[in-house]
Amino acid sequence: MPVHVNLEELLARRNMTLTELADRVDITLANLSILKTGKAKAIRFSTLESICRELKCQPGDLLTFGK
Amino acid sequence: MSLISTEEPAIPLHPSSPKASKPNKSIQSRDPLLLGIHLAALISMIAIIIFAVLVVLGAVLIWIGANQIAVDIAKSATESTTGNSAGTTAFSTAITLWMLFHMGLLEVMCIIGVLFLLLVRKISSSVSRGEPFQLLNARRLTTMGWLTVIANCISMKVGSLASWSAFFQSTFTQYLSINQSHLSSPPATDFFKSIPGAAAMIDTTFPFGGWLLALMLFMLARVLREGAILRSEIEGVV
Repeated sequence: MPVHVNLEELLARRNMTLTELADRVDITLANLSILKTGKAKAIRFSTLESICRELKCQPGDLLTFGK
Repeated sequence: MSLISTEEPAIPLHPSSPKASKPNKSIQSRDPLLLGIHLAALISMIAIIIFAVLVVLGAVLIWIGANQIAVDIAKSATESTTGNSAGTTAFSTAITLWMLFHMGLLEVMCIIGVLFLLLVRKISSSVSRGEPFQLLNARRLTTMGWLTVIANCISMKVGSLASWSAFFQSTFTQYLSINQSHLSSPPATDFFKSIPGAAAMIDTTFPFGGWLLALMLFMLARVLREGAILRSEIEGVV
């Protein structure tokens, strides 16, 4: 997958667990781990928005190309 | 990155719930239509199975007892025309086999009916589980389409047989009416008459609509296949 999801790094930088994030953004833990492991086929703008809001980052921080 | 905190209130809050794409299960399972289909299919299946068992019993009875009736009919017919009973056995065997063949076709129709209803139940339960768009359901609908085609072919075959047997019957009843006094067992006439009547009944239960149903089922199978593809696409959406 050329587009890499940096969710793990972002979470580590903020000392947040996946479960915590799941609670905050109202996304199921299962779906967040799909996103984290890079198995997701697509991401909703609403998901992107809420993750960026909670992690206080830009979409570009979460998704990088060719890493 | 820090800009986001000031912009944040402007961004409309849309808490994403990826599972929202799945239909609400509790509503689906309480759907009276699905429950009705489930029950109707079950009751129809039981009725068909009982009917099929009765047909088997009837076939056994024909093989054991009514064979004698066929012999009587054939005997009176051949005697009235030729004056002797030559060919009676062949004639009676033909009548018996003809009746058994029709009953066999009825059995096949029963099996098709039960399979069809089983598939209906499987599809309806998949709908109540909230996952109707799957390739398995598309395949089920295709199978149902083919079952309908087979049932249509059988009813056509029975139809052609019915027209043949109508001729058979009319010639026979002619003999019987001429030789009514010679006939030892009058109930045999009623019995014999009832069989082609039954065949005609099978013929009329599957009119043109049967072919239309098959086409609709094939079309719906394609619709479901498309739906299943769309469904699998949305599976990976977070």
